[in-house]
Amino acid sequence: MSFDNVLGQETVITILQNALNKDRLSHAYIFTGKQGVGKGTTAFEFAKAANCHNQVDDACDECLSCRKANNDNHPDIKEIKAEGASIKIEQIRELQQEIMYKPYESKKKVYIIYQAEDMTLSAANSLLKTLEEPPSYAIIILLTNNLNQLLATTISRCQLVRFKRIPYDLIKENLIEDYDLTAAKGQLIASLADGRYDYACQLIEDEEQLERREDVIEFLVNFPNIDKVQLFEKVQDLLNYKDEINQILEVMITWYRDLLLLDLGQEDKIINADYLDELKHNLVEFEAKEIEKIIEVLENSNELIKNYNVNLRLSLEVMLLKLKRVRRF
Amino acid sequence: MAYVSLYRKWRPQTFSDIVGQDNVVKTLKNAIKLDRIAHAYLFCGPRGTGKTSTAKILAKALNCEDGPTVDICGECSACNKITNNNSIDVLEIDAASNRGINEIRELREKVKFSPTEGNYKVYIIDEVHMLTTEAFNALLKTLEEPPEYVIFILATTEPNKLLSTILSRCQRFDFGRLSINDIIERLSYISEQEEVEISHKAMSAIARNAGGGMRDAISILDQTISYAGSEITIDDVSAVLGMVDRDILIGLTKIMIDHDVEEALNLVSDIIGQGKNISQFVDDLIHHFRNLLLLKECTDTNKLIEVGADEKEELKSLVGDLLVGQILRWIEILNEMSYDLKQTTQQRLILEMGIIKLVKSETDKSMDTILNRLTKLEEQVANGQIVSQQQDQAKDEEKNKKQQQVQQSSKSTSQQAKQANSTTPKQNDEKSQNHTEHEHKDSKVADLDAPEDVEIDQIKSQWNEFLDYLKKQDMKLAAFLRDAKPFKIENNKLLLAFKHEFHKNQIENKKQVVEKALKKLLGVSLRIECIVADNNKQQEKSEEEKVRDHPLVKEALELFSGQVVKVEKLDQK
Repeated sequence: MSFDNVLGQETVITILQNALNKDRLSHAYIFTGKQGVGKGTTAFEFAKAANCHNQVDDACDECLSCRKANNDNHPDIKEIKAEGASIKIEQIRELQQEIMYKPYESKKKVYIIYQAEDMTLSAANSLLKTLEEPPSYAIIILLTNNLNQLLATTISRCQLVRFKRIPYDLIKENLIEDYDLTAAKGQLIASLADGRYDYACQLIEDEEQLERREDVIEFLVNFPNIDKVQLFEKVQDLLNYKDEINQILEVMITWYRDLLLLDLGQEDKIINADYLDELKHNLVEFEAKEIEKIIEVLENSNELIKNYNVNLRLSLEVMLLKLKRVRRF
Repeated sequence: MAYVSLYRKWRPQTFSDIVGQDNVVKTLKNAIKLDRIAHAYLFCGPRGTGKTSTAKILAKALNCEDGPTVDICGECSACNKITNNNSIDVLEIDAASNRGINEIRELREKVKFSPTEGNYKVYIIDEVHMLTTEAFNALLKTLEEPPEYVIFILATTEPNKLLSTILSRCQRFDFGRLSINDIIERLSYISEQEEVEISHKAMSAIARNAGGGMRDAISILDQTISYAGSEITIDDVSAVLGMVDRDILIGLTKIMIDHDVEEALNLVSDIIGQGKNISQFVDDLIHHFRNLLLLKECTDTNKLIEVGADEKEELKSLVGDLLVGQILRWIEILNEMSYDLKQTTQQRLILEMGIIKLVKSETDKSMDTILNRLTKLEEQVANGQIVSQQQDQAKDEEKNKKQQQVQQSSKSTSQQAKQANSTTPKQNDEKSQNHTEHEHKDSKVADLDAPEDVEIDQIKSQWNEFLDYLKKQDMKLAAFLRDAKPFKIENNKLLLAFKHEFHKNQIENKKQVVEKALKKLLGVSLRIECIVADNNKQQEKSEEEKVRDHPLVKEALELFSGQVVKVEKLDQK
């Protein structure tokens, strides 16, 4: 376990290692990038490296500090995660008190806040002053999937580190090596993962996810022939996967994106390449304008479900009915 | 001393250090000089504009050993203590963490005690918008009439969240966003002090990216120094910020003018593959089009546009092909995109869709684009680019003559054009028309639509040649067209019969290209209509007949013993 563990984020690692080498560690960082591109791992390795006894710009994994961190009982590396749906002001207040105590045994005291966009408004505001001028030994790392959901005042106080999507080829090769996959399966999963290695691993380890994708696609292929009664039955089906609903919607959106690209004659950029025939078949049913409209509807519902406290059943029903109406027949 | 972030190290320490807030500084200085210091100030403005720093400087100015003064010594113990945040008389309160009524009550208790060292007791209440309503109300009386030695400075980014009763008790100072020049000036000062070499281009990129916040700018500078060391170029800044090259912006503009969807999508997947910052890219594009717009509309742009001379020339060459309405429409689409990008986690998708929209914006059927095309036409008419039909035909004839010399075809096309020009329909025209009709077993409809200036046979005979010609212009299009056969001509429209729906759609998207090519090579201006071969018969049966023959309609007629008065097409969407 060291920075070698982080896949395909060379720029990020260079920035962090340079900071370590030159002793220019900022007191606050924001790591931003899609879910599953390695922000958490990087933050953890960075914390270890900052406290490692043997090496300056990386973790050795042998010294006491690194071993403690690997066993999750390093006293000076703290992780803050959402309690329930959000990170509450009490958690931040606790941080503010704790951060005043000097580190127990290491050079730096590192706080890693996962999913920083989950902070409530009051929590985010109460962090501001600490974030601007914490004690000299403290480093606060905020991780976020969506930078735009953080306060401008928060962002302005931190050094922003952007994580990029991991290149397709890199994911493919690693998957084939790590999981001993066939080339075809590796290709498929790498393209589904869309730059997220962690997600790719999930897809492999959790067979159900792939099955669910197949279900959804089957539904979409048949969608033009489904009547409204069946539509409501489908919603009932979908409700069984409450927690994965965003992933399901993502599959749907990707499907229509592929249709749109196919309509423009861009066959090589398609993600659901294993369903090319079905896509072509499906394309006959739609006009480009309609597909655009459909994607818009899906995007909207996805945002509503993710960010607001909406009634899931209702919004899914409304979404599917809208989709039905978009179509000509 | 341990390393401290640049934005903390280079916090302004005197009034003269404050950049870009001249009216605020002037007012405060005069207040001190004239001894008209208010008891409550409200500093508001966006992040990184200097609210908290100014509050601390004001506190220093009041408590400096030389008494209230505008020239802060920065050396006396009072000044030092304030700088290091450990003065007893200057209290910085984090209102976002201490937001309840209890904390305010505590504060009210302490306000009574006079200052121990300096002249004034200064309370800096930062992030004051987060106080609860009760806390605000508890503060009101104290804020209105504090003891004479107490001064409150409230600082916030969101003055709209404060109670009006609070606002009316304070002197309000609005801090504006910093201009790009102000930021560049400060950045160059800091980098000089830090012994870092940085190019002007790099600084202006940082300044543009900071969005008017000095702290953001210095933060980026700090990060770039960590990344690149003591010599910073624009490339280092681009790498840290995930910015897209200027050349790509110009490239994309060209692609948009050419309506080349494929290239555009390739470019998008490149940008995404390289891990560029997508929102940044869209913002850059907006900025880029703003520059184009200004170049198009204004004569003197030196003050408005911050680009180098050579780049300006390049932009100017682009502008020639563009219309104001078109650029505005693009910016509108991009603005929408920029908003959508902030909401979504599927940035790639939004970007792809948006770019497709941009590239295809002309074929889009919305009101705006139609207006656009109208103005384009008007402009052309005004410039005299459009010639009347007769002149046009004369030109066509000339072209045809040239062709004739090359290919010695059996029929002289120029003659045909002349034939078409004359009003009486030529017999052989009709014959050949009938001939084609026989082929397609439909004489009734086509008889009415005799071709005006060309016949289908001519097109058929030159079809292969036409495809070869098109191939040189657009390989892909020609490949799609191979699937099609010229079918017949009616109403000045050339019907193309396709075997596959997919190919048909492709051609429909690029109709104008095919039409243009037809005109160039064959010298005829025909419009194109695409159909799928299997549906020919249905297509020809007029829609009206279809409706009349529908069993439901028939039954309804019978039931009510009525008759069909009018068949009207309704908009189905």
